[in-house]
Amino acid sequence: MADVQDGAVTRDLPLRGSNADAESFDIVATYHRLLKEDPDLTMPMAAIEALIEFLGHSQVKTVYETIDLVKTQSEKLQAAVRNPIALSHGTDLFSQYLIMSLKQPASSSGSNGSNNSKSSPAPQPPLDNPHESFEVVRQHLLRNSRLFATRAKNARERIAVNGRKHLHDDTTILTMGGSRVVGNLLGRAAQKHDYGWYTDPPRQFRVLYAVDPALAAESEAVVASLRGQGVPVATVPFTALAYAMATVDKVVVGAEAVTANGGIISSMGTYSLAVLAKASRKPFYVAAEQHKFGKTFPVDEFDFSFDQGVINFYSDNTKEGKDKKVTMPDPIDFTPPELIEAFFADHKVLTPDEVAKEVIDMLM
Amino acid sequence: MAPPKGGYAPTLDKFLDTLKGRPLEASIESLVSLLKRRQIQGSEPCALATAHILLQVVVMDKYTDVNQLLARIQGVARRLVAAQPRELVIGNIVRRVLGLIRDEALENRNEVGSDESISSPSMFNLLADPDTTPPMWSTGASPAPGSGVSTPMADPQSTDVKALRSEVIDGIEEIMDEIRQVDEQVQAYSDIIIHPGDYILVHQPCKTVQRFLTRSKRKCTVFLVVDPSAEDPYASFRKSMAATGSVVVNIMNTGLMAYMSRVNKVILSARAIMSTGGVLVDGGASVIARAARELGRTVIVIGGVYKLSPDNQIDQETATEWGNPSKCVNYSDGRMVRQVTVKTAVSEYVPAELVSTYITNLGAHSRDHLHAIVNDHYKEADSEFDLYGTIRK
Repeated sequence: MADVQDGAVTRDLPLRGSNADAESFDIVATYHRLLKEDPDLTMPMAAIEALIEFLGHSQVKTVYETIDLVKTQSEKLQAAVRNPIALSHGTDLFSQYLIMSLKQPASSSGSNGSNNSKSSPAPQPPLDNPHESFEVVRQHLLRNSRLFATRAKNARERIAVNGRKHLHDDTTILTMGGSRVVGNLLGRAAQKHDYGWYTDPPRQFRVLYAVDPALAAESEAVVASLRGQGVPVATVPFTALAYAMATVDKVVVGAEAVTANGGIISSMGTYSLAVLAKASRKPFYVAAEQHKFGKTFPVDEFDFSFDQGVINFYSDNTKEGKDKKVTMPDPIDFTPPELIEAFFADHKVLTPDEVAKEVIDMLM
Repeated sequence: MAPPKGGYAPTLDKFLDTLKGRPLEASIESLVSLLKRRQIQGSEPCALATAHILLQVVVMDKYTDVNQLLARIQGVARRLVAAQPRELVIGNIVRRVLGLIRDEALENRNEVGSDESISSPSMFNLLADPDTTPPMWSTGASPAPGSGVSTPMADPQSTDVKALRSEVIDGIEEIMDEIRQVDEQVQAYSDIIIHPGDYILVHQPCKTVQRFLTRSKRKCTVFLVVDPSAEDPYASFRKSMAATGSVVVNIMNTGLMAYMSRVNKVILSARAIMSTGGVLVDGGASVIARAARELGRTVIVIGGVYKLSPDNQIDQETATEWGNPSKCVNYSDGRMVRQVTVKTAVSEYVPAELVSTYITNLGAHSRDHLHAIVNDHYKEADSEFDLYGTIRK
C-alpha cells in the first residue's frame, strides 16, 4: 500500500519534531474520502482508518508525541463534522488501543484479550525499550489497516448469527431506518445457516418496515433486498406505528453509536419507536457492532455538543422563511437503556448493563 | 414378591447404579432415553446425571489430546441437550466441564498466572495483530462466524493427557459436590429474608426452597400453592414447619389474588435463570409472579448458581413446555378427549421485570449483577457454543 511505503521512507529522516507531513495531511478529507469510497464502512471505522493513514504520514518516532498527535487529529476530525458522536467512538477506541498496547509487554501487544495468545507459535522476544515496542505496534497497524475494515464488515455476519437465535418462526418483526446491520440480520435469518453440527432452517417471519421519508432511499433498498429473499415485507408510514404495534412481536433497530450507559444514538424516530414498543410491552432489540460502543454519556435528548436545529419557535409567519434555522441533515435522537431489551453485538448478545460494564472496562 | 422400594420406574439413582458395569455408549444411550421420557427430570437430577455421564466420558473414553476430549464432550452434550432442550442446566454443566478442561490444559503447560483469561478486552480484538491472535479472527471466514464450533486449543499435543484426565475428574467431582451443597449454602441466607410474622407464598417448593424455609426458626405463615390433583409430597415439610411454630396454609391457584394482599414475599424455585434475569419456572408460577408484582410484593427466586445459564434467547413461547393433561381431563370422558384440546404447561417463563431478587449459593444478587456471575462461571468460547438449537419453533 502506498501509505505504508510513504511511512517507511519518511521514517528514515532523522528530523525530530518536524511534522510537515502530518500538518499537510488532511484528516477530514481522508475521512470523507474513505466513507465515500466504501459505502459499507461505518463512521467509527472510517475514523480509525483515517487515523491509521495519518500514522503512515507522520514521521514522529516518540510514543507520547504520537499519542498527542493522534489526539489533536481526532479533535480536528470531530470539530469538522456536525455530529461527531459515532466517529469519536472510533477515535477513542483507537487511542485507547495505542495506550493499552504500550502498557502491555511487546510480545503480547497485538493480542490483548485473546485467550490463546500465550500459545502463539513464535512469541516475539520482549523489547524493553518502549519506543521499540511502540514501533512494532505502529507497523502492525499500518500493515493491517485493510484487515480491520474487513473485520468490521464481518462483524455484521456475526451479528446475523447471534441475532437469528432471537427471531422465531411465525412472528412479525418491526424495524425502521436504513440500517445495514438489521438488513443483513433479517436477510440472513431468512436463509438457512450451517452451524457445522446442525443446519438451522430458514426462519419464516414477516417484516413490518416503518418508512421515514428522510431515509426513503436506504429503506427502499433494504425492503427490496428482503422481498428479493422471499421475506414478506409490509411498509407503513411512521405515523402508523402505534396503530400497527399490536401486530408486532419484536422490534429490531440499528444504531449509529452505543453510549456508555447502554443507550443508543440512532436516526430520529428511534426513540419514539422504543417508547411505543415499551408501552405495548414488545421487546426492543438493537443490532450494533461492538466498535460502535463508546464513552458518550447523554442524560437526555438535548445533552449533545451540537444543536440539531430541530425545534424552532416563530410567532411571525413572514419571518420564518427568511432566517429560519436549518435542521441538521441526518438528525438523531437518544434512546435510553431502560427501553432496550438487549443488544445483538458481534461478540455476543448482551443487556444494556453489560454494555455499560464493557465500556467502563475497556475505555475508561 | 413385593416390588422393590420406589417401584420399577427408572430414576436417577438407578441410572447411576448402572453406570459402572455398562459400556460408555450404552450409558449415554440410556441417559438420552431417560431424559427423553422425562424419567430423569428436574434441574438437580439432570445436572447430576450430566456431570456423571461426562465423568464417564473423561474416564472411559480414549483420546490423545485435549481437542479430541473437547470434541467428544461436545458430541455427547449435543445428544443430551437434544433429548431435553428445555432443561438448561444440562448445557450449563457441559459448559462448566468444557471450561474446566480448557483451564486444566492451560495449567498443565505451566502457563498459569496470565490475567488475560480473566479479563478479555474483546473490544480491542478489532485492532488486534493477526499474527498473534487465534486464526478464528484473521478473516472471519473459516470456520463460519459463530458456527457453534468452539475454538480449539492451540498446540494441543503438549498436554500430558494422563495428568489432565485425573485433574478433570477431580474438577467434575467438585462440580457435583457444588450441586449437592447448594441447599445447605442457600439456607444460610434464610435469616436475612425471613422475618418473624412474615406471610410467605411459595409455589410447589423444591427441596432447596423447603430447606430454606425450615432452616429459619422464625415463626411465619407459609401459603403453599400446590397442584390439587397431584399427591401431596410436602408432609415432612409441613411437619418441620409446624415444629418451629409456623403455620402452613394450602391455597388453590384460583384463590391467589385473595391471599396476595396478605403476602409479604413470594418465593419461587427456579428451573433455570437466564443471564438477562428471566427465570424458567414450574407451570403456574408465572401467574403468581405477575399477581405479586401487580400488588407490589417482593418476588424472590431461589436456585443454585449452576442453574444460571448463559443462554438468553429463551422467551415466553420457547420456554413453555406442554405436558401431560390427564390430570385436567379424565380419559374416560370420551367426548372431552375427542373434541377438546387440553394443554397444560409444565414449565413457564417469568420475565425479568417481575423478579426483585435472586438468591443463589453465592448470595443475593440483583438482576444487573447476573451477567457478571455468568462471565465468572463460563468461558466465552463455550458461551457461544450453541446447545439450544433444537427446540426453536
